[in-house]
Amino acid sequence: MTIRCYTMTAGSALGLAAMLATGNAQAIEASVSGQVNRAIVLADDGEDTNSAFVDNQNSNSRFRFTGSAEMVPGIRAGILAEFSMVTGSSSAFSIDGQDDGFGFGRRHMDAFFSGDFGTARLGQGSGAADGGVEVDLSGTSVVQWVGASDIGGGVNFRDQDDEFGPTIGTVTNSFDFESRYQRIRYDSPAFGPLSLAGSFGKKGGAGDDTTELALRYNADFAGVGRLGAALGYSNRSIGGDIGSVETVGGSISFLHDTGFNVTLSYAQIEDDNELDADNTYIKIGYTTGVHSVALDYGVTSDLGAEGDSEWFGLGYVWRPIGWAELYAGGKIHSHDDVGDQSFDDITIVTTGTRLRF
Amino acid sequence: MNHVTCRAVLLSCLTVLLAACAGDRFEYTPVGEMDDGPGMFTGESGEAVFSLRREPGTASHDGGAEGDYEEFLEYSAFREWQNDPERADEHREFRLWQEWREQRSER
Repeated sequence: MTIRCYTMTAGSALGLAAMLATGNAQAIEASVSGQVNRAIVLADDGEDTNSAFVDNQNSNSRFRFTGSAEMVPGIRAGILAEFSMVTGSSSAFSIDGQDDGFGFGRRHMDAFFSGDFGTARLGQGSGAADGGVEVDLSGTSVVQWVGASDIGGGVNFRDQDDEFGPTIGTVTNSFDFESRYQRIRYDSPAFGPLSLAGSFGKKGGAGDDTTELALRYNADFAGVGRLGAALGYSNRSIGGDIGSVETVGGSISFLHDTGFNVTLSYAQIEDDNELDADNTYIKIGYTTGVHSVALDYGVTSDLGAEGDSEWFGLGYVWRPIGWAELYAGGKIHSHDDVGDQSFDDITIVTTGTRLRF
Repeated sequence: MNHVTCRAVLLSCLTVLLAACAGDRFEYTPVGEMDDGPGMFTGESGEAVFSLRREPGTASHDGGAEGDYEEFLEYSAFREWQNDPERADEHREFRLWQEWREQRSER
């Protein structure tokens, strides 16, 4: 028995050695990762208050599988499959209820090929300009950022008769191009801090032709700080009276070595019908590495209803270790009078945690 | 802000960026995406990584990768046993048995 065991083991060892010795073996790596981002939100619309346990849509809970291998010398092929897992979306939270549903969301289902030529991606994923108005080095984006409607987007403004008016989500928008959809995308190799990207795809149930272009700049100036910036353009052909929806915009964020930082964002959207709106955002903050705090202000003009919808807020994030963030923030949304309607301000307070696993 | 002003501002920013092609590049992760960084269970890499070595053209079948890894574990165990001084006598006996097998096959 003992001799048979040794024979089997030795045979396996010799077989494995033979396999490894014949050369051209491929190294294949696959990885699993994810995060959970949960928060408590409290809102006051000037008449009523409500609170809820939510999944923070600034960066929702998710998990992903990635893998890559050398396909031919100089070209790597890989996959990215990422799914959100959300219970109680913070963007659907409202004064008269909460979204208690659970659902998996399709974020990325991408095949990619990369090499000296750059990276080509095919599948469900970000368009070339996605994130172009969201560049942010402040460290507080998990609780406050240009996408203000991601927390409390379902809360309605109340008029002087306590009637429900538009929701925060219908009058506030960062206009961050076309987000994720079925597309083919190309990212150029980096030219120093600069890189270019373009994509073409089909978005929505009708398969609207969607084209995006973007220019990105990410530079680290030794002894000074970091500068991140992006410019983007998107065109989605919806047809009918709407025609094409065009979005132009960009953002820039500077983080000085002392920890002071400033972030600016602007985007404009228009179609062939009546849509002509824009969004402006500014954030000023300070970060020490484990502590980050910032003040922000934003205004969306002429979206959903006449007039401007503004918000300003304060956010704080504590990052005691690389995989954990605890945060708290407060903001006040207001909307211009529309005709004979004047709206009360909405106050929203959020506290929560994002943990990577 | 009208369209002309908007486009002028954006083009100006573009010009500044192109002119300022200085500084070392850093990898920026978009706010909505997961940053590279450590994980609670996955350690410093932030990912649970599975590494495989496979020969090209090796027929893929159910459990193929698992079989390679099991063979590697067996080989590692064999090497550990081989180098264990307490098992030197057993290893010597095994080598003698191998030689006996070879002699018998030559008859």
